[in-house]
Amino acid sequence: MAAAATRLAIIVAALTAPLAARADDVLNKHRDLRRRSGDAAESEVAAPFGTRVASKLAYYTDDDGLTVVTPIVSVEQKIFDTSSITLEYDADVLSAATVDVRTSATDKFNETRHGIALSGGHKLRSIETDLGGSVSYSRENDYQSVTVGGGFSTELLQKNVTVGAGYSYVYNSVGRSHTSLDAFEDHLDIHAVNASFTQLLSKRTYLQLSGSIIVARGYQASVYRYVPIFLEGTVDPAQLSEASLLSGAVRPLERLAERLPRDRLRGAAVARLNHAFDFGMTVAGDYRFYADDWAITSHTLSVNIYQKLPAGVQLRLRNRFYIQTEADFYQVAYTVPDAETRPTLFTMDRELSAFWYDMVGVKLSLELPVPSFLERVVLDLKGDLQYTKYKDFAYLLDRTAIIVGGGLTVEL
Amino acid sequence: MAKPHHQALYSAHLKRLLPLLILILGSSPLAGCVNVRPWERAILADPCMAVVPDPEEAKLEQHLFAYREGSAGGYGDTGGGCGCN
Repeated sequence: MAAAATRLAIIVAALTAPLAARADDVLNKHRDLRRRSGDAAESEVAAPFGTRVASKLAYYTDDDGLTVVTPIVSVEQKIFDTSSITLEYDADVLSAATVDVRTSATDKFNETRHGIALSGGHKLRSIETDLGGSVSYSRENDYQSVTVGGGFSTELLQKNVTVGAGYSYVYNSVGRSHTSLDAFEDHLDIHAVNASFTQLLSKRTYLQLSGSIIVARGYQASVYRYVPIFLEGTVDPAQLSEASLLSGAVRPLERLAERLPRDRLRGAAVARLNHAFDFGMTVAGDYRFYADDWAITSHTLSVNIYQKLPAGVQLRLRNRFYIQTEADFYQVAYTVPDAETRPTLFTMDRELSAFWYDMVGVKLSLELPVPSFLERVVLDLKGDLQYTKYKDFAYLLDRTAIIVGGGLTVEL
Repeated sequence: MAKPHHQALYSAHLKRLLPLLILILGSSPLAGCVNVRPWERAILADPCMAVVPDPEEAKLEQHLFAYREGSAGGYGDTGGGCGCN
């Protein structure tokens, strides 16, 4: 009976998802794992009006001319140990002279995006269920976005199993910088459904299986990306490069604004396994399979190793490997038989080509000594190195990126 | 000329997801096989055993991955919300 009930709950969670999404985001903020972990953990988070303030700053730079500074500040307030509310601000301060910009012969540009999010959660103790919801708004000079979402997770079988589901909706308004909305305005609607199933396997191990279905409808191209269209016989894809395009060694018939399908159905499934060893080491690994109806499939393998060190120091080493196929309409060079014909779909987006990357990183977290009115203060510093290799993107063969960051988390 | 673009909702590539979805839905037989009692869960409650140990870092990274990958989803993300394409 119990197994049947669990199966039914999972199917309902996966198929209906009437509540909202980003369930993992929202519910993780409420330390669902600690709650799921039973009485011992609950006593650890029993402070009725706890506050958590976290601030992070990340700096991204790569050899393709992109620099991004990303700050984030989050304040979470717990209320009566059953509810919480979180207010969050983040921004991207971006400076770009990437291959898109260079091959369009336009100037380097700077741009700032501001985002604000409000989320809340409530635990229904009588049925061991967490409810969560969030709303966020993001704005930059040519793009606005509103996201609403919500979800639930519920504990079953003496808290050995947790199932969750969520739904979110994103409304995006797309414009063009320094252009009135009358001249160009479009929209993108995104619906996402997530479901997850978590099973404790031992007092040191748990398994989580999760999945997402995302439906996107609307404008999904970049208004700034112009694709060279060549007459057949005038270009050898093997000779095509940023230098040959800019020098005029290859001459396109014309350059057209990127055109992508307006509909996209995307699906992803993740299997995650976390295990704690008895010498202070935790290994967290996950694998994601992704596919969509633009014919892109990808595999992502991620491993994080945490090691507790003396004096309140924790070390994290990690590796993330990602590989994907190209979209079915992607071509190195788009050619037409005559001056009147144009392709239906065309892109110069390297993220729609076939490529792989590997990212390695190290992070140090230090728990600082605190006065009695503070619960916990953690300082963290991290650095990541990412190398990307493009299989058939003529204008960029590879890219190396460095991401460094740090943060301070205060609990009181 | 562009290769043929098949935009049927259930394309062959998407169907590859089916085995994994079946795995998720079918894994419920695991439920009930293991019973970890409340007093045995101290290690599971350690912050680094959380699904997302650092939510703010995770949000920043999902944002990075969203514009550095052709993929989205699986980690609670939606693949939208900014013009960083």
